[in-house]
Amino acid sequence: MSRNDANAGHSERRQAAAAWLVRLENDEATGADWAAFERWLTDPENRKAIDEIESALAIVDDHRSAFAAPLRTKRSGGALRTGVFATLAMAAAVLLFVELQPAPARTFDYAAPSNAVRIVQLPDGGTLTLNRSAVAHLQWSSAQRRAILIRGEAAFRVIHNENAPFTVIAGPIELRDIGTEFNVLRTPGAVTVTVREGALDVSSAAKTLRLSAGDQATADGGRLSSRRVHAEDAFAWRDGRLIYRDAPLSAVVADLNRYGATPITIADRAAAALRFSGVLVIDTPATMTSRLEAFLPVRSEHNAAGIVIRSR
Amino acid sequence: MADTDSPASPLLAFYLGKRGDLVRFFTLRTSSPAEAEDIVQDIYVKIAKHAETPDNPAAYLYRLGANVMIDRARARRRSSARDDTYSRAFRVETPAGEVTVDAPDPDAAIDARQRLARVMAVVDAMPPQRRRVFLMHKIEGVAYADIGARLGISQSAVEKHMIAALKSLADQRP
Repeated sequence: MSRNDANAGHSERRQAAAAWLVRLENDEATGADWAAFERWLTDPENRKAIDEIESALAIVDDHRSAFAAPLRTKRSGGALRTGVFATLAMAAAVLLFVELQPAPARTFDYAAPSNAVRIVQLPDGGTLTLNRSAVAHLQWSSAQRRAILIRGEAAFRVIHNENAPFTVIAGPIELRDIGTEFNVLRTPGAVTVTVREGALDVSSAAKTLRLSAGDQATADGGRLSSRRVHAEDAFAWRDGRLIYRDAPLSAVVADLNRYGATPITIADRAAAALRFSGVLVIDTPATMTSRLEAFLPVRSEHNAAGIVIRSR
Repeated sequence: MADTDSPASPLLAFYLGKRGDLVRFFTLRTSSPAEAEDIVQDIYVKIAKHAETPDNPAAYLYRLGANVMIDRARARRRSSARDDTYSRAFRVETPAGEVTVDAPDPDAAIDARQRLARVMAVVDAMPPQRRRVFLMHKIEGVAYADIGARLGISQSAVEKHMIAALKSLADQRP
């Protein structure tokens, strides 16, 4: 039997399975119908077709409210949910039953709290993971999918859809996906994009670069440049870690300052130029700086202004 | 000890005669003889006080059992989701506040969300009338006949929409 025949056979089974489930819900169904259904079920392939439908129905049953709302989010403890979202969800629920015309772009705002990661499940199966304190704005319709990273860091897993390009706007640059997984870090000074899978185009006012897996682009002031990196390092924050390979201490401290409320400064140039390789667990500034002391010839002092790191 | 000699209600008598068939059927449906026994026992509990005999007692018992089966599966999913939340929740206590990563097992959590997203995409892609029928029945719990009356279509048209809806749900599985 060719593969096409097998597929066609499977499709017929699914059709029959659907017909059985509907027929047996009808009040007219008889004991003879159930007996016939039992005979039909003795074929394991038929049972599989029934299971496929029932497991999908179980998902519907477990997420009833989701089937009236356009976007679902998994909230971390204390995460914010905007009132706008709730209102839109209700409006969308009404829309679903009243009129099913193509919807205009819907917009959503997401913010991660300062102490937790937030994962947003996109309606097309993709995900948006916001790092601590990140804020993103989403515009969603059947023709366009756009995310604006207002601040902080976010990892995207984008399902390619040629009818609805996925774009990300982060400060001075725009990203356009080709079906991919990438991380975007926006700091006051620069935007860094790291691609783990697939490819995307990153554009500044001046030029466009095509990035593929393992490429990292940095837009710093007016310059846009790229280099090769260990892309998975850029995603480690999702597991609560920061990974460095021969990074200057100044870059490490810049990262730590994104995670803690206590400002950390480096007192001398020699210390700033030290190179660090290793893994830091995201924790309080004091814990993370003391970890650095264990690896580098530095000491940290706590004062009223924060933490100061100097050579020792 | 009154009534010990009185016959069971007709439905109960019918159930007792049908018990073996029901166990066999639900063993086939659940792949578990123990689960089937529990379901058939639950049917008994539900009909024990039932005074009237439905028109079609066999179909009634099977449908009752099918509902019990779905309820039990749902209860299991809920309790396992709760267990997962407790056992896999990943919390780091720090003086600065609690760091909570809300996907302790990001891949598993993402898988579950992807399955949900796929099902939602199928529902979104249904033609409007089919989606309306499907959601009225599955979310609002409206019976086929009442859906037909509300939408001004025949019950058989409602059933055709439901069959197409269920088929498309099966088709989204890889």
